[in-house]
Amino acid sequence: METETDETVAGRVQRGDSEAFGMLVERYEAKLMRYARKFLRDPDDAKDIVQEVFIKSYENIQSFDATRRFSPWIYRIAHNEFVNAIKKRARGPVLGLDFDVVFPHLTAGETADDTALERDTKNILEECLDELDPKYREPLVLYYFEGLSYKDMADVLRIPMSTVGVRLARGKHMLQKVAAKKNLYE
Amino acid sequence: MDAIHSGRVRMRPRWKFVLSGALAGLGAIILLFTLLFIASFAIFTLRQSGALFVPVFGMRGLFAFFAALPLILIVLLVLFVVVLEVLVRRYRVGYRTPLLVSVVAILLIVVLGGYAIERTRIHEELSQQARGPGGLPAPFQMMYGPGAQRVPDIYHGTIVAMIPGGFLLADENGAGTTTILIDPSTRLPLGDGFGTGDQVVVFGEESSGTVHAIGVREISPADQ
Repeated sequence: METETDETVAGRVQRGDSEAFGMLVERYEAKLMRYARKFLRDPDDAKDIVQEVFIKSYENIQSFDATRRFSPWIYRIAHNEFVNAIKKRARGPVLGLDFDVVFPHLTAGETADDTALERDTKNILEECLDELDPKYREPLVLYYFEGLSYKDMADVLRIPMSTVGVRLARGKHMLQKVAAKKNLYE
Repeated sequence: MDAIHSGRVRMRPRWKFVLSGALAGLGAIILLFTLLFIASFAIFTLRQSGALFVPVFGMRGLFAFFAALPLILIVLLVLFVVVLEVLVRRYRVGYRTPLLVSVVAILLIVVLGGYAIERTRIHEELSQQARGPGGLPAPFQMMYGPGAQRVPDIYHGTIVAMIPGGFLLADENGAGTTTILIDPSTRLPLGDGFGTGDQVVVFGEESSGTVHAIGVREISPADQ
């Protein structure tokens, strides 16, 4: 039997089939928990936030455009919740304007890392996550752990695609520096 | 799911999102038209005062042009562009575009659109109505009334008589008749072929009722 797409299920929820929302919860709970754990080390905090994400997505399901993909939509809600959680914990002021999004960037298009490189990056990322600025941590997490494309990441983070490329490149560069400091390279 | 079944968590109705989107869209359209009006009025003000034509008189003319820029209008323009940018960022076309590119695009639309609206002579007609017997409602009377586009050291008017060494100028902006004196240092970018009945812009400082012209430029029908 053909599995219904997330978009079809979301469409059913919009038409009043609230039980169908359970399918979306089943499909996304583990992913969003994994995403949350990259930002909030405390598993209870992560669980609370993921619960809040599902509540908000149910409350606002009528704002979802079923002709677009569901995954970036729910990740966007999750991103907003994590940002709010980080702001609450931040010691200093959080900058309003991000200069990465002001100027156009000329970057290479999206290319897939080879499998070994990707595996190495993921392992190093796990070890070094806490030491990365959330601005660069999040694109790395979304790309390497959640498998989102540049296009989807642009929709989740509400930034230009070229800025996604720049942040990934800078994030990888920072990761290398942190990993070298921790002697993680063999 | 328990919260959903118990009714603690409810779906917000679609009409709320439709209404919110429609209001944001309407707000953006109203803002854009306001920006176009402000830009077109700013260009009209510069044209009517003659300030638009003084950059040809060299560095002093350029400084006079910048000094004549309607500051309040420019501040309003910048403010409204910022608000419009915030509204546009709600949509994919907005956030997918680098900020600098979208701001430049908005400014280009506003300046070009403002120029196109100014050329329709709507401001010219409102200005004539303001000088007429009935006038215009209060805020518009202030904007368009006699003397509203007057700028120091810039005289925009019609030559009523040629005199030795210069001419008499009837000011467009209600400042009466002024004696304009020309000497060899006066800049004449379009030549000295002007005469009685011609519209000109004169740049120069007034002293004892006489203006020693730093520059004189004839205004053709296409410039008006």
